[in-house]
Amino acid sequence: MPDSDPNDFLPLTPLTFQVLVSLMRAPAHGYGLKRDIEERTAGRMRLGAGTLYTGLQRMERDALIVETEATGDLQEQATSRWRFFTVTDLGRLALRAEVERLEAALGDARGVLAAGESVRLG
Amino acid sequence: MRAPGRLPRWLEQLVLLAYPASFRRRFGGELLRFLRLQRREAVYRTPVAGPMRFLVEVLLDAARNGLRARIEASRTEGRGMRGFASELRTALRSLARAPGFSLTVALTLGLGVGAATAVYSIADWIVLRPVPGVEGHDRIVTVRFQSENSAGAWFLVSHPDLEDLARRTPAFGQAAGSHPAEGHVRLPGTEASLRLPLELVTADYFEVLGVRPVLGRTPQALAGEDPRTVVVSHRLWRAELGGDPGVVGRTLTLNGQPFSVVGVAPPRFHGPAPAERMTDLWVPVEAHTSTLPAYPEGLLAMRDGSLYFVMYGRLAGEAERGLAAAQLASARAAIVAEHGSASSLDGFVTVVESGVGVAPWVRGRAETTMGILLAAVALLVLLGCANAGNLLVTRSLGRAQELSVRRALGAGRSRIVVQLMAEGLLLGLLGGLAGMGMARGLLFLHGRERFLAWLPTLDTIPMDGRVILFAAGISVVTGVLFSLAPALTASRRADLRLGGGSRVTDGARTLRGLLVGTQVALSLALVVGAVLLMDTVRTLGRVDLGFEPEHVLEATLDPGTQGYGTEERATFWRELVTRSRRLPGVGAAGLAYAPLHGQIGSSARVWASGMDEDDAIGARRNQVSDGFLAALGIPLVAGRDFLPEEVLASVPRDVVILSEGLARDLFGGSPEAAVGRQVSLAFREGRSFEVVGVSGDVKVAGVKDETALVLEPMGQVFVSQWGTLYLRSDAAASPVGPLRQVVRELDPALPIYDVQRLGERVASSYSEERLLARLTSLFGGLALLLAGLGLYGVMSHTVAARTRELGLRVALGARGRAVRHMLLGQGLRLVALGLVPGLALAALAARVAESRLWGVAPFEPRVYLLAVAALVATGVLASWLPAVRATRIDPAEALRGD
Repeated sequence: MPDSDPNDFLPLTPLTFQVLVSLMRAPAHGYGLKRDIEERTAGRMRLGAGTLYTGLQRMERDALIVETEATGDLQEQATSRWRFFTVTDLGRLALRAEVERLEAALGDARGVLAAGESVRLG
Repeated sequence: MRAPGRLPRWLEQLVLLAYPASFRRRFGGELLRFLRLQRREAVYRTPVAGPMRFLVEVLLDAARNGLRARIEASRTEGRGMRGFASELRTALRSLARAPGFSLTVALTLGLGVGAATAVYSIADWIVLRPVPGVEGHDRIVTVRFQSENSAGAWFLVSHPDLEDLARRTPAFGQAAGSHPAEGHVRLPGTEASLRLPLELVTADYFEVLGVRPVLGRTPQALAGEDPRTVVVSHRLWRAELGGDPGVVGRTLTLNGQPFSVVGVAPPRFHGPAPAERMTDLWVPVEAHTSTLPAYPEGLLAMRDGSLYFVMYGRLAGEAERGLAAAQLASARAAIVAEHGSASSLDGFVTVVESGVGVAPWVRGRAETTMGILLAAVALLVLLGCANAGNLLVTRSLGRAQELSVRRALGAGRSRIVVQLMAEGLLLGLLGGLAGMGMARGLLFLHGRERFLAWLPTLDTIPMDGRVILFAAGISVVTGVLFSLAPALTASRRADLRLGGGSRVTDGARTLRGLLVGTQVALSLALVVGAVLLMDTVRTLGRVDLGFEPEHVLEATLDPGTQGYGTEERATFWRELVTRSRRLPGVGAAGLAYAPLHGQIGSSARVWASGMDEDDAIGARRNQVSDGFLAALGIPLVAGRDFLPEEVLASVPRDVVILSEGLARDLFGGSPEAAVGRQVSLAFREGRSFEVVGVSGDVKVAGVKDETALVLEPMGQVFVSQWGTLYLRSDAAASPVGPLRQVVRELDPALPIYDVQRLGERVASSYSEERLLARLTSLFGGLALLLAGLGLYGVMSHTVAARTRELGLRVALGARGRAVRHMLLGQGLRLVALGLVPGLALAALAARVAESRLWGVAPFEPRVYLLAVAALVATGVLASWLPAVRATRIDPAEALRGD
């Protein structure tokens, strides 16, 4: 088990959150992450090189992600000397904790909104 | 897959320099690979705007994240950012000690930055910027219609076809159409009206564009309600309606009819293409008969009717643009299959564009002009850098001692480079500030002079945050760029022993020589471009127009939009011309349906009656009153002008006047041969027209136009909705005021617009060429000045450094002339060094400008010789003074030495 508490990282920054989501699917390199995140968020999140790599450096330092060997169908791309990253156990736990936190927050908000609307209608 | 190309080396170095060393080691290579891919994508998406946006984004990204990484690194490593901040402080102190130097460099850079910023602002306004007030740009699609066979021709769609297209395109959640028109708005409390751009829109127009009114509702006709409703722009509401919060429900007189105000658009929203047209009024399409009285009832239901629309759609849910394009194409095919040639879509293909913005033909034209301007501006920025670099080297020569001392005291070489670059950075930012001021001035000038006449809204270009970021971006880049080379040489020099003699400055002198050479090369390119464009403007100004624009005033009126019927219009035009002729100082007055050198105009094919229609000749057609030829000074070559009774006659007389070239092509021989003959015109089937006169040839559509002209008396086919009045007056008379009075007497609510001297109209038809010529000559002149100053600096320094040697030569009997020639030769060698690359660069510049040249070949040798001569003259001038000073050296004084 990792020695840090995943709750220490909450709330995750939007970048950390999106990078972890992407890496949960498959290891990826920097540009692959950019493409994946921009696609999934329909362009709402645009990533510059500096933002992404300083973020990756921080996440690597915090042991949320780790550099990995490219495997399988990634090997062809690996010849282009990209650094590939994958999510660590700690990263996985931090993401799960964040999702739980968000769900709780969303539940609260929905409850309040529903109550407000019924008051207005009634 | 091809590996993406490298970025320019300076850019890569610059980006890497932003980050602390620890980050560079781990991620530097990776970061550059990322940027290369990103650039390739940017270029692929939008060839012109993409790279510019990419550059700005990359620099901002590096500045922001580099700073953050440095702060973090300084926390963990105890160095980095704090070190850099102290470098900046040192640099600031050092610059403050030399205010004259700092100011000169800042102004030199400011010129380039200012010009670049101004050009970027314009490009941003036309093609780059998201349209103000429009929400969710990436989900909006503009649909245009392009001719299947004649490529490049664009068309619009009729209302029934628009509705069918929308119904058959499920990828669109909503779709809407807009028809551009004009509105005459009576200002509350006055009798006067304003003429403003108006859009007739379908019900979902605001929803599709994501526009929410700040007051009231969106423009649409509600069931059971009078459709005569209007949504006004925020600007109109504030400026003309007093910003009244209770404006909704008030009545506005629009085109002579009462319209109820139902909403106010959000601030800054002026329709989908504000660079082209700033709409102030939105009216539901159901009210078109009230807005356009000339348009009959039932027009909306006509599939091939003449009420046409641009189509906009908002993509539904997850739908992509490609899907919408495919559905539109098959919808078009289905509609054409069903209705055949009755459909407005017959013969056209649908073209979809992402988002909203200016029409493709406007964008294309803008991109060419902006391309030329950007090339000129890039040269100017580089020139500024070379010159500033030169000044910096001069200064570092004076500081050799200081730097050597710092080096000896243990400052690392990188430390000295960083300090010099920090100074460069500060100077760059200072230059940026100067540049912002200059950009403002340039934009103001553009707005006042209407340089780009096809872009009516240029004077409203704001300088927003993105433009300021752009200016800051180039300032930083130039700052670092021009200080890089001097910083590196200076630091190398500082490695040498303290108090070294002239040997120490050799490297610096070589560098300065190179910088001067660079300046010469860049200047040559700019001067060649300027001469070519000035030649173009001069040739255009000398063209024989066929009419005499001096002392002619033109004014346009639109009684059709005001709600006048045919009879009323005929009376109005007759009265207007008659009363104008009586104004003091007015020698002749005439009316035309389409203004000369204007946007409106119709064409028709003409053939001699009884001949084969296949032999018809294409010509421009205009409807005019009697006196038109005299007012414009167009000579009558044969026959006569129209008679007053032929104009606006209740029974058409079927007469025409032909231009000379056209008459010759149709009937051969002398112009008289055509008088009395009959011609037929396309669109006037079954009628034949008697040629009553032959006029001189006229450049109808613009200075470069070559076409033939057919004149018909006004009213022969229709009584025009609008018209342009021409008044020829004495040099002393100014008929503007009296003319306005005449129109006020006829109808106080009728706006009069485009009031100008005909000369202004003619000049504005080549305003773009004039803009380019003026700017490049300004830049070229500055370039010569800067190159001259640079050379002067080098030569002065040479003379100062060689005082002893020169003194010795004079002591040994060298004549003044020989010394002078030696130094002049040396100066000219530096000029020659820049001439060869300069000529190549100039040829490249000529290629870029080629599409805007007229009457001069891009590689005209005379132009290149002239430019070379200008540079040689500058070289002689700049070396002469130092050379003369050298001959005055007193050998005794010089040899005494230190």
